[in-house]
Amino acid sequence: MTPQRHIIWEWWDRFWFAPGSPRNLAAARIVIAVHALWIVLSRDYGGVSGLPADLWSGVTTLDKVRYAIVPGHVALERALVALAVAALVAVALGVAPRITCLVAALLLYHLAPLETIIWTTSAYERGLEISTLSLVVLSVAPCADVWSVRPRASAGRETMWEYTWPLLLVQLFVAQVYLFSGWSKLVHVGVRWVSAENLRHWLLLFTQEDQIAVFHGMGRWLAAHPLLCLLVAIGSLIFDLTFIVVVFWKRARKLYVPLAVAFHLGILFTMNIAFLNLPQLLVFLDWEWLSERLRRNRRAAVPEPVAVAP
Amino acid sequence: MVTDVVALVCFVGFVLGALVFCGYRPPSLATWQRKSCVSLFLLYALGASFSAGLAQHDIWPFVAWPLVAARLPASVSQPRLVAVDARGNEHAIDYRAWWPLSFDELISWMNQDFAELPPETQDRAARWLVAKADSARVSARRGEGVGHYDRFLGPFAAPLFLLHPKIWSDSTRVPADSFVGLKFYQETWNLESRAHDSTVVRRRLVYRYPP
Repeated sequence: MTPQRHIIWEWWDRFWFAPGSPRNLAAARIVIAVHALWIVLSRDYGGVSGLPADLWSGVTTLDKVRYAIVPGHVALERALVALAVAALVAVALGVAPRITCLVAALLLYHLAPLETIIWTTSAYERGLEISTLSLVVLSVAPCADVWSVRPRASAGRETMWEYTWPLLLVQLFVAQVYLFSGWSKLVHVGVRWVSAENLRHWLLLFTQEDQIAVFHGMGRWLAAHPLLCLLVAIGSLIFDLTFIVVVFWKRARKLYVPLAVAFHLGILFTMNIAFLNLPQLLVFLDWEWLSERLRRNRRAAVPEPVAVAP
Repeated sequence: MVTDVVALVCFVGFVLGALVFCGYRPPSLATWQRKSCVSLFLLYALGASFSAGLAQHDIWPFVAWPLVAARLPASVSQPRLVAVDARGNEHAIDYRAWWPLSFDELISWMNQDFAELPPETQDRAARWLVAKADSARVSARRGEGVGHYDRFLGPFAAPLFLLHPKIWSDSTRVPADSFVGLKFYQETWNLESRAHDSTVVRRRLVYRYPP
């Protein structure tokens, strides 16, 4: 007789281990790898290693040990960057993903903090935190069964549940950005964060500070409308705190993901803040549905052979 | 120190957890056993990430994401670094001049760590910064560009988290005279007053090089 399973375990099983799509997981692999490449190729982590010792004076031995950083080795760090780029390209192509994902994750863990290490060990908002975690997850997932240089012939037949939990975990890492961002406002300020005055001050700061302000018009216009400021503040906090539903409820993605894109574009033009993780929202797209639709359209576009009478 | 150790342990645990519980899949394991192993890893990942977020304590790469999580007073203070030429004129510096160091990291370091350094170390660091800014100035004057953010991806290179204007993109706006010094200011202003009058900024000199 099979013992009765607890309702929580039932839910857990249904949520994390439901049959999944190899295409959606493969798309997450490609999105994470290409996004990380975008960041790595736009920075010079190796060069930071060569900064004068005086700029490293506040970095403790433990900080260096934590990320295996030894300052002053520019050539070595640049070689590691090249290796990270090669690994990320391999991840994007689906070449030996178990090895290349792990190598890329470990290299990003080492390289990303170089950007901020002279004053903080937390390289958050620099674009590589979600990639580092996601690549570890992808290294133990069948993420290259399709859309890779060597797709697996039996992809998707016997263990469909193995495509689900890694994708959900990657999606959760992305959704946590919003949840924790909303939570942090409540923890550090409380509900008083939601006020027209507070948002107006933020908008004024980022548009008045000439070392930051690239876009001025929209931010100042919004700051001049207190009621709109209040509505945006309320909407932002609600959006932050509820975005997490996209992980549990696929239908909500159709509303929340485009809203998130608009949200970040709004922040870019009003506050001059570029949210570098924005492209990672692509992990919420239903690539299975999209590829099926494209395939059907392509098939429909091919003209039927015309039968010619002898 | 404790954060460093906890963060390192958390990440190592995350990697080892993935490899041990999910990486090795012997065919002899039943599906429920494999799911149980994966579940242990998932619990760990949820524990680490939610601990960082809910406790609002970064243990990178598990991050707390405190984005704009403050109540901004009407009076704000921001640092500013300017270059000085031989005639004593002050010049704004293009944010790309500090490459490979980003402007935001440099300013944060100046704000947080610079004052703690002995005077001779401050001057040595400032001398390097002046040379760096002047070398970027020369390059910008020649129309060779500033910094190398775009060296691989051109205009598609990732921006910094905070945008900054590219004030030396037009080579005619780049100072003609060499930089010989540096000044570090704290600027304070009232946001409401500056909305009406852009000149109401008070400057306090924090450091100058040469002294």
